[in-house]
Amino acid sequence: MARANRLGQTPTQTVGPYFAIGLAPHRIGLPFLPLATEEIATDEAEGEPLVLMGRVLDGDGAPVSDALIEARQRDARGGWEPGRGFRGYGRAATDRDGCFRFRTVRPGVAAGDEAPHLWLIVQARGLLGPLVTRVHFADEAERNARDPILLAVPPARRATLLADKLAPGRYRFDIRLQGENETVFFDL
Amino acid sequence: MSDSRSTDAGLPPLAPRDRAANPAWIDPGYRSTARRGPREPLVAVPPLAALVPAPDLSDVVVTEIDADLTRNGRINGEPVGERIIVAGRVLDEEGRAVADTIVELWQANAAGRYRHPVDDHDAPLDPNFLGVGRCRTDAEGRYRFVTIRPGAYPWRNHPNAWRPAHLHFALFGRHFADRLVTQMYFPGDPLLAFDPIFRSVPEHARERLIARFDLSLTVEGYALGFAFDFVLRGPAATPWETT
Ligand SMILES: [Fe+3]
Repeated sequence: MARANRLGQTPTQTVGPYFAIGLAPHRIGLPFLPLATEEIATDEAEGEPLVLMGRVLDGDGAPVSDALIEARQRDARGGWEPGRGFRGYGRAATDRDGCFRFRTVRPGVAAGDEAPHLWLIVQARGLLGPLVTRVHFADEAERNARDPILLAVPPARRATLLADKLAPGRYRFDIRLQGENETVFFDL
Repeated sequence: MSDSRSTDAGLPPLAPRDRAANPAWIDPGYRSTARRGPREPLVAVPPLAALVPAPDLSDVVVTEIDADLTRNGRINGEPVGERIIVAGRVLDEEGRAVADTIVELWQANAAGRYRHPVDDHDAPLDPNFLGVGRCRTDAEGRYRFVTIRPGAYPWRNHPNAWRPAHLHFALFGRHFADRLVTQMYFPGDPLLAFDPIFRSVPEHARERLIARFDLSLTVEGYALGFAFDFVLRGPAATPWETT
């Protein structure tokens, strides 16, 4: 609810189909230094190397080939600050098949009941604002069961926030914008 | 107390996004939303468990030429079109400056064509124009771009659909969740009345997306000036506030 004497928030608009020009120029060969890439952390960073890949799908199950995903995570020790080889922030754009991929390290956790996770913001043509979601690891069942954010999600929908382990250090997280098994998006 | 805890605690909870001033996820006028907008309700979270600082980009070097789109894409001359200055402030809802934050801009050229492989609009590319810029706000939250006024362009949303001239902007706040991607429009554009993307914003908030012509921002003999402020979310009013 708006409070008196506050300025009105600037409304959101879609990133549109051409966001790569501004937000991922390296993906289309534009000679402009990208602010961030698919590399949330490099080999230099402390921690277990990890690849997170997945697809973005629409309400028909069709691939979304023009989605932008931004990722934010804690470092291996649970801090947010950048460090050697660690940015804590990355951007990926989906390809023709709706696929995206990040290179990072396994996130650490803060004190408390938090389970390891990455926050994602998804934007695309046809999305009029940012969608915020969160990736948990399916092989962390015990910690996931105590995580305060996962516990806020209706139990039947929690599985949409779990990344499946494909191989050591490789996880898959699909994002369904709409329809059956629609990914949980948070009111943030 | 570990480092990460003190970092988290240093960030006051964020006021909610004003959903009443923002588009709905599914908008009948904007066709692509029909299969892409989520239909399930957004899930509320415990605010203190969801405090995520925006990325620390203090290491990113932003130069003056990054914010000058009339220069950052030059190959063999000046880009074609009407030069404009677009400048203003990045503020939060309480009117406080958001200092040292990066503002990203992308846009079509004067002919309404994007330098992007997917854009097949039959209009010329400009060899001297990339259509991308970046700047960082100063201590008062001020930003300033020099660019070319973009052209309108057709899209296939409905018969004879044209996007009004616009600039695409992306901003960070202090929180990751405060991410703002929006579009700035120009005053008096007759296409605004027909554009489903602009009109997806509830009527009372639409004017917030229209720049103001500002003679004081013009550069004599060189460029017209348009003023545009961004308002990000503020700190929550109570220890935390829920929608
Ligand atoms: Fe556009």
